[in-house]
Amino acid sequence: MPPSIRACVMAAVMSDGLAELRRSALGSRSFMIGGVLTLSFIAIALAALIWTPYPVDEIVVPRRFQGISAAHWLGTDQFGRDLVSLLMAGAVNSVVVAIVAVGLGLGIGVPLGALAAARQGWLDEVLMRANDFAFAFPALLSAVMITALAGPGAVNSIIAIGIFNIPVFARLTRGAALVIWKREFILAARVAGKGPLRISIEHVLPNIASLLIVQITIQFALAILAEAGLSYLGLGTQPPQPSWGKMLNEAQTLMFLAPQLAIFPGAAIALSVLGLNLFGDGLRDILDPRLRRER
Amino acid sequence: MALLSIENLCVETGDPEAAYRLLDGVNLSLSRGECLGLVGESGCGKSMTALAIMGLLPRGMRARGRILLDGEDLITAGEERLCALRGRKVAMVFQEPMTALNPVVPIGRQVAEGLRLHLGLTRHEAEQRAAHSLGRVGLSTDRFPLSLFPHQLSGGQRQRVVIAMALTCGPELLVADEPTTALDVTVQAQILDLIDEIVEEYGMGLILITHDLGIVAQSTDSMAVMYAGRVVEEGPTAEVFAQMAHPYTRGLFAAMPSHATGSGAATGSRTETPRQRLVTIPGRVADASFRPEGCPFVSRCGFATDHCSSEKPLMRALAQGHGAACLNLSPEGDVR
Amino acid sequence: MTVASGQPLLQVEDLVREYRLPQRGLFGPTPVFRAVNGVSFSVERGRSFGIVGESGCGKSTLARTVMGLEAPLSGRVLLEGQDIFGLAPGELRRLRRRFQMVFQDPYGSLDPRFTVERVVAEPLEVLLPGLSRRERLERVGETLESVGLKASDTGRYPHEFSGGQRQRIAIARALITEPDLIVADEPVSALDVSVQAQVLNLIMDLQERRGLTFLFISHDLSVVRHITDEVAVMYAGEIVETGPTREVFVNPQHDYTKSLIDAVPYPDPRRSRRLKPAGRTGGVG
Repeated sequence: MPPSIRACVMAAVMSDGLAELRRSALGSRSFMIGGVLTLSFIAIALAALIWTPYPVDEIVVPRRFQGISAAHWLGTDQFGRDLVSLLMAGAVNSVVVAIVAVGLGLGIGVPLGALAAARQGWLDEVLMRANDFAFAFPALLSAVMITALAGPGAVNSIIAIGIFNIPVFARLTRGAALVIWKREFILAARVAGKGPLRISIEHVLPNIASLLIVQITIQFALAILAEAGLSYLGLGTQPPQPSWGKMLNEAQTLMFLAPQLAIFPGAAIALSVLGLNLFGDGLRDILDPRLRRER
Repeated sequence: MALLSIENLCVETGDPEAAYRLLDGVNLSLSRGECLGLVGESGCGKSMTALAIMGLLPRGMRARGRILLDGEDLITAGEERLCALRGRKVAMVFQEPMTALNPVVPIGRQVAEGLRLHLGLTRHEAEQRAAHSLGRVGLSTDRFPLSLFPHQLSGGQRQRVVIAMALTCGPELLVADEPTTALDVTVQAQILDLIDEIVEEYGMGLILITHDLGIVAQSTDSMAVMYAGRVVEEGPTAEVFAQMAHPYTRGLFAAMPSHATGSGAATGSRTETPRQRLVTIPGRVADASFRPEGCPFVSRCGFATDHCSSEKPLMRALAQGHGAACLNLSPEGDVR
Repeated sequence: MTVASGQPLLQVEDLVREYRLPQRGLFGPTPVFRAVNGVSFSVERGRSFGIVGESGCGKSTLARTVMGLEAPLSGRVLLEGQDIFGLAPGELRRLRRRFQMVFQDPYGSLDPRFTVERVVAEPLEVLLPGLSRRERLERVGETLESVGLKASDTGRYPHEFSGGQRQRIAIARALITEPDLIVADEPVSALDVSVQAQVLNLIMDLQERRGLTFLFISHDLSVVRHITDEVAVMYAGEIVETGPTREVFVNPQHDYTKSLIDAVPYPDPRRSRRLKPAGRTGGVG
């Protein structure tokens, strides 16, 4: 009977107890600051799914270009929409696009990389050359090209961003998996009669999980940037769905009239990307010494 | 005057209130031309002693006591002074030659580094001296050009390069930390012979750290057995082997397979005499945090008596420079 | 224990294993390295057979090939007369119940993410799938006890144990399917002398109690001398000398064997290699 998924996940992350984890987590500044920023960002996005202070699709012209006030914490835009609500809705957009795009990369890239490492030989060569081919294209420009050709929209931008996550995860997985395959406990599993698929799932993936987790946070940050970039160019999420990139674009012509319309979305993008990067760094610090300590 | 004199060396780590004692009152001395073997298993503190001598203790560890090299205390010497001494007056050979050598620097330059740093030689002069050192350790430049990289050499050859590096500035004290553990047994013999010759030729003092009693017997003049951060037995090698006093030393010796008579199988036939079991020391080495009041070996000792757990045994002199730290020794050196 | 047939438990015939080295140039033949060059020997049931040699002699490659982890270029490995490389994958997998392996590195041979229970029970998952969860747990507990650990250790992780204890866990894993043959590749080389003695005693006990057959690979002559009935000396992929252990050590025939035995440092200061005894000095301050 194969062990449950839960056991594998537990093993991957918690093999030496929560107390130890908590101690190193609280000790890492990057982790704490990044964690707070990331969690806030996600919490805001979740909240926005059910409630925003003001509706985002309502145009109330008399209230346009208001500054910071008690009624509107960050003011209003050129259509009188509340900026806080817009930012919250934009957060939802960023999170959804990032999750699906990174998920796409993860879901296809990791199995490909694991397969390449397990099989080696010509399959490895083919997959890795395909990977190199994908890396040869500059990700953002290619995403622009894809959405320009296939038509703008959230779905296409997700696909475009997701495609470029695949080679990243494939390469990372393959490299890390190759190291694990050389370890003696893999030989022991083979002596126990297990085949490469089972070994990949039970032994290899849990042992590279920490590396993948860190990479996920990095790719998440990059996906948010990419989405903002595409939306700025008008190729990503289309109005009336709010997106931070689009807000930046619209604020361009109004820069001297109402700079806050550019500053706040820009700050939102910057803070969420910063938070994710710090979180990823902190995670690496926490997970790395544990990896080393296992010897 | 002794070349090296270690007095009551203690190395601690952790909070000052709840410090772990990694070394607990180590006393050793070494003269020029003498080879002292430091024996023990993992965790006994022998490598820590070497690092303390070199001033290379990891951060967070504090050394107390005195380490006198020709009268100069190394513990109070500043880092600058220690840098001047390392490679020049005291040199170290490590266990793993592949990690002791920089994989991207040719061997000639690695050996010459010390010369340029300490003696201020020009590049040309340093190269010549390096070639000479390498020749001395058996890697003559006609077969082993200075431009070779470490990965192009075998394990034994790399260790020779490490030894050449240690020698170039003519140090007076050489500390060799398990120099042959990573090598094959035939190469081991060659390297030990080489170290021996060199120590002899240069009149250096040598501290040879090992876990192998065979090496100690064959290559050292005097020896010290360490357990749990303390020296439990010491003296001239021949004396200690002839009359092992401390129960740990005896246990270590008895546990070695070559010592026992070996397989009970008679030649050819399928005899069923049961194979002789090795005499083992029960239990295992305790954590560094466990440093009891009395003797650290008490929980594993077959000769322990009541006062062993409360009274810390000090080194007691037996005959001829031989001493052991055990409360239950008779004057003849037997455990009562 | 099954009735001993007249046939040796393990027979290795003219085994050859090559590795392909990185290519020198764009064209031309790929250089190969012959790690095992025509090795033959046989091991009788219930005996302990040692393979001794220095690094690079091919003994580890030999071990892995005997275990069926690597395929030879030519030659056969016969377990009770069956050529393991001639079997279908399913048959080989079923046969693995009968021969298991203990590895050298106590820190690398156990998956750090697995609990002790999972580690020791791993061979049961594929090789004895009929057992219920409870039966499996019972077996794990019993096997742990038989190697000197506690049944209650099942929930702990490898990093909580010392090197010697981890090797015991590895031995428990090798024992759990009740194999006939255990191939041990340098099982005590990474351990301290006193711990090594404990593990060697354990191996000898298990062999006698369970009638196990051992193929014991090591570079340490003293260990091999103590624990094996017969020994083969390997050099550069070939066996240069073989015979009953006592014979080979007391009366070595081949030059390499002689130089090997000669090089081992003997713990007797009277046979010291020191060129000239230094002046008498005091260790006591």
